[in-house]
Amino acid sequence: MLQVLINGLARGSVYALVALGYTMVYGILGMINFAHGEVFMLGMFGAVFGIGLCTTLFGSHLVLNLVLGLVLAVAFASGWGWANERIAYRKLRGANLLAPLSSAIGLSIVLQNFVMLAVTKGKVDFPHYYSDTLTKTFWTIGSARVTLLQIVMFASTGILCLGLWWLIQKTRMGTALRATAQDRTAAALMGIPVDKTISRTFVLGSALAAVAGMMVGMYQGVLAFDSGYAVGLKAFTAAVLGGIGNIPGAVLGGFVIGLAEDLTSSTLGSDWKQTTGFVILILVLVLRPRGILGERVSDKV
Amino acid sequence: MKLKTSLLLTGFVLLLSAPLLWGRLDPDYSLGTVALGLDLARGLEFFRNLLPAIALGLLFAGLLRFRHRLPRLPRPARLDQLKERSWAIPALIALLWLPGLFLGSKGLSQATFAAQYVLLAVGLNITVGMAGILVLGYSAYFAIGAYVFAVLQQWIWLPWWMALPVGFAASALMGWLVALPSLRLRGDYLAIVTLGFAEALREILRNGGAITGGDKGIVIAVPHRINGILGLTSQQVAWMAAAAVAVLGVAAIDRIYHSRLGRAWVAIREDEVAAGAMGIPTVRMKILAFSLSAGFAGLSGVLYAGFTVFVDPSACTFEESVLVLAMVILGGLGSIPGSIVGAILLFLIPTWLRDWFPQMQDYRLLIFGMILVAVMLTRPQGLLGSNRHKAELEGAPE
Repeated sequence: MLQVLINGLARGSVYALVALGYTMVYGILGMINFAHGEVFMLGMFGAVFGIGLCTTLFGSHLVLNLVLGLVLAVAFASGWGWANERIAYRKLRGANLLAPLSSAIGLSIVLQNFVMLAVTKGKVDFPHYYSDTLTKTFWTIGSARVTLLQIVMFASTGILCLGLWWLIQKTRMGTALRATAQDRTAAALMGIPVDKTISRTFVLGSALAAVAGMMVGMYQGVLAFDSGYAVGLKAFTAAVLGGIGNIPGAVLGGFVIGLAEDLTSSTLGSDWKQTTGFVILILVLVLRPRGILGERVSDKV
Repeated sequence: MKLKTSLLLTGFVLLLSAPLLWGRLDPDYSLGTVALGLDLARGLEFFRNLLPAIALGLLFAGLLRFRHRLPRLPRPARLDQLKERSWAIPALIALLWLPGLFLGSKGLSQATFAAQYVLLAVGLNITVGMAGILVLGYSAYFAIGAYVFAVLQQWIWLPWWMALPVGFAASALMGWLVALPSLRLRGDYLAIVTLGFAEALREILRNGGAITGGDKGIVIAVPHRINGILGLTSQQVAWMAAAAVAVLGVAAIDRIYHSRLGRAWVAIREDEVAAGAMGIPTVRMKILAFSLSAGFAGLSGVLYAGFTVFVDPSACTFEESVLVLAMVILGGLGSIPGSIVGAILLFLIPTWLRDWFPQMQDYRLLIFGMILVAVMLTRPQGLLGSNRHKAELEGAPE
């Protein structure tokens, strides 16, 4: 039971990080950034390519290459996130929900297939020389076992969430972000650079997704061009579950989905793991349509 | 967008794709490390394989750029002019049956699948285009139609033509059950519920054990599948059935669209709160749209199962849902001729690409995604969409 809890929290922290990207974009633009799962996947590949580059340049330094790999992955995914917004979404801002969503679906298909064609159709192994220290160091608590990587996943999600909270509540940029989310036109009239603020939101969300991507790459040991789809879908479910547009809600939703999945696989078998998240989502939406922490939104006339 | 910005953006994207295209991972399995090498040939091959598509894209962009100098295309014939003549629909069915007599078996099966996609696209158009409800998991209802037929025919005598109403009813009922709790939600939540239902359904089909046949699926028994009769081959019968059901389905939806019901849907799409204030029972109308739309997917599912004589969980994938959604969007939301054209184009273009440029087989989806983005950016109302809808899609200028 404790083991299920530990695995679920580790998995949930990944969903939480990716869900933040969905919820921030939704909060500011009111659109579902369907390609966010693909940015997560690009972050995974960015980490492996970055580590490969560092190995070629500096030899196999464990810590240096891991840190540089993370930095490169974050930069890579953020670049893609920025470009996605600039190319596929900016022109459709303010349009009806369907136009940017279709564009995002198209973009997600493009990115997935591009990685498939450019890198490989098969799976890529995460270089285990770099992940071994994290995955093979573990402590036992009773009958359960917690690896260093799981602690790192949980802790870094906590730190990043606190950092994000500070950024949004305490800095100038965060004020601009909140103002833009509240009323874009009024924010522009107050001299807030709306375009820049929206671009920054995408960069921020993509950076968080890249961190999650690198950790999942180490956790699972393999990555593929379609790894982003399932994680993206579940993270989005988590964001809706917590109340989309609500940042603490996304984190809470991520943990709920992660825990529920591991609970199902330990009780009903892993065949049903994929189904649980959606069943919970449907139940929550039926009983509480705005999500767990969502505010009541009345329709505008 | 200015030329300079677009060039800078293109350069930036090329820079970002460069490591993926030209980098080569050299894993060292004994140590577990990885090195990054350079592979110039592979990146070039990527662009070489894409060459036909790039050329076509540039040609198309050029045509768009200078479209006002081209002769204007005739407006598509309006379906509502046809319906005033009672002989039009039987005549159309008879006309569509003719190619069945001389087309080869490959052409016929492509035409049959195209007709099934037309049915799907026109059905999805009811919810997405007319009532303005986004559905991301439409393939679930297609799968329900196919599976209800496949499962029932194992136990009772149920030839495909008898299964058509059964499949329609089962899918419509399931659509009604899903819509009942979820249509009270706002649009974006609803989309994810339909998607979640499709994902959950696929898992249920895969884990359904003896009833659904698991990953292996179910084979339709010989007397129940679409067989040849009266000297016609089974492919000819399948085409005739698909064409007839598609024509009747399109005619039915067209009649509904121009009725009180259809106008209620459009009113809900344009402004739900105002529609409610005018006395339209919005929730009931939306549930009806959803359920009817699901029923048409069920019809298509039965035709599909009867023709391919086999169903498996791959009938219920997200790709399939997105493909049908793209057909509706490309053709033009809310436009019935648009959905028909969109379905035929998006089904046939990938098929032809595969036949004519075999090296582009794997690039199909990539090109497909690019077309979807490009259409949204340049013509969000779709190929045959109305100008009125265009204004709504682009939104008010900020």
